[in-house]
Amino acid sequence: MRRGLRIAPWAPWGLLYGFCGLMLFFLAAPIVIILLVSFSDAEFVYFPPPGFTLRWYAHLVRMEGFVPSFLLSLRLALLVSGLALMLGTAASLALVRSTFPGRQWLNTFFMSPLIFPPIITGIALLQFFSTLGIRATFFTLMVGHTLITIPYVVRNVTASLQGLRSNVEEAARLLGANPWQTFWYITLPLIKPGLLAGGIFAFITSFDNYTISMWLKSAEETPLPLRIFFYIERIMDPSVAAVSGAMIVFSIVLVIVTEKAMGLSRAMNV
Amino acid sequence: MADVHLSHVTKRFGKVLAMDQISLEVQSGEVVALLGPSGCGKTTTMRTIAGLETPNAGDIYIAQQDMQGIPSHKRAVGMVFQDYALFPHLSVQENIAFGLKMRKVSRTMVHSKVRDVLKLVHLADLPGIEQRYPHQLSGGQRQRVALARSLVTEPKVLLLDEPFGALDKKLRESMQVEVRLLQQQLGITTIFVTHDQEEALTLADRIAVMRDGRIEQIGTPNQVYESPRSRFVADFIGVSNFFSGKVEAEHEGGFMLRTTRGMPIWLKPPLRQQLSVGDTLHLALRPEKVTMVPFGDTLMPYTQSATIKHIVYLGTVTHYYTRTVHGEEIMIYAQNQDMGHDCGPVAVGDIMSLCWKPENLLILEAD
Repeated sequence: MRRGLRIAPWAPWGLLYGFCGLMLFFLAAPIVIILLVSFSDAEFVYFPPPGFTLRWYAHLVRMEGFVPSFLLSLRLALLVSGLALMLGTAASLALVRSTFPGRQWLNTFFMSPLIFPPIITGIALLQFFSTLGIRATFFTLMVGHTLITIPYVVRNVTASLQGLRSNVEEAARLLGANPWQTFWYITLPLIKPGLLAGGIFAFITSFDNYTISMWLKSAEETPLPLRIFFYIERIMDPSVAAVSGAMIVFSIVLVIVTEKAMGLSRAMNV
Repeated sequence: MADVHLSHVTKRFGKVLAMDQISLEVQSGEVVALLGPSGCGKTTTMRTIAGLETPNAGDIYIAQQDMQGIPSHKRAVGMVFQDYALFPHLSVQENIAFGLKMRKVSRTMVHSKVRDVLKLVHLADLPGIEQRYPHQLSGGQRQRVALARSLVTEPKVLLLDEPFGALDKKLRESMQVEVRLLQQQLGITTIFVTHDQEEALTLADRIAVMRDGRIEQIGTPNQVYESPRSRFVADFIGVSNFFSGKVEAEHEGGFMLRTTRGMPIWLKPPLRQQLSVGDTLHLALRPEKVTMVPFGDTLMPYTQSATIKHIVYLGTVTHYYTRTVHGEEIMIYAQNQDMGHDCGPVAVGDIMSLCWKPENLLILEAD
């Protein structure tokens, strides 16, 4: 027996908990810090805050452009996740249910926006629209965002569809349901987890997208992530932290509402 | 009147011929089993009747109506799937009511119909069964719900795909009897797919033995068991001893055949086909049709002496594996009518006389 190699029985557990603790710390610490800073009464982003105040949150609402930008991003993300869900689900159905030449190729093609650097997708889209003579508007933003969010829907819905035994659809057909009724009453409820997960990913991806919006936004309307960035370029005061804080709260509310309404933990397969 | 009529139906999957010109008539109220090994086309045949597969050629009629171009949901066919295919997100009540909902049956009617059909499948006594979900049911209950769901819309034809495959032996046997009684009560035309010969014998009025996309033989359980047409049928339904040999002599309308190993077999009229000296024949002999007596106590002419090689005692019957002096292996099933053995204590290595009635020899068609 070599003495030097003896390991205390708690050591593996200690390592595991230590590692997990560090992971959690690095995930949570920036959020905690940004929340603390958002209540700071200093004039600059500074940690630890010397004192606390709510004025940056009040400032936020009064600050020019932030509320319209938030509303624009919200409207955009909602529309985009809806569109991505419709198109992505249709694509998934074709990919999973039918066999046609080039199916595998098409599957990869649908995933390509995830693989391409978004900045390149953005430039390409800008080129495309300007060649067609289409001015950058809300519409171009919507098209761009839908393009990059479709892969999330296709991924999740495809997984759900593959997990679905197709004979429940056949059973529905034999009970007198036409193809539409079968889709509506049987397929759709059974792939709900995939739809929810895909929809949430699409929403979040669109809501905080910067690289695509940068190229495709109109002169008049600025989505929230761009607004925040433009602001930081000029002034670095805790109102930026307040925006972040508001967005964190908004995300948490979104997750809780979805959880209550439709069972998100099931959707995420937790 | 034929409720289901298939006429020369062919179905190909790529290069595989799943149905090769299948013709089949199922009479009103009849139960027909499609029996065969996996890959014989039995499931495809059923799915084609249901409209889940489109045949490449041939016609299908349900209640005298040509089914060409008629989609599944308009065929008035009920089907129970092998794994039941219950809708996991719907309760028992909603599962059963689904077909009625698609037919726009009024709410009050749906309620009473669901209750009636639950009574029919003996589920009405379970309190709160309607509100349960499929994952909260036992295997037997799931099957009853699946059956109720397919019966509630009063289909003309009921299709069952390996309906008892997922149940354990005891439950399977009781469900088989129950389904048969239910079928007789409703008089519904039923086609079911199985690879289990016992299930086919238990449930069916007629059995269609399938092989390589064709129906090898169709007939009542008695017909397919007692006069199988081919070695395949004789082997698939029940157990048989097989012999092949040449006809050597004719005597008073009977024939003497010698097997390839040299064992003489006596064939007596009535015979299924015309024989003449020199013909090559394939014969089958069911093991329960062979009797065994102590060596020397001859009951009939042309007995074979054989050595006991192996004995399997199964409670109601005992299986004896024997080898004749000519080297033919013959299996014998003997009923255990008395305690102990019918013909005294028999042990491995004993020499016995085997005999059978010549008319129990089955002449098979060459494969």
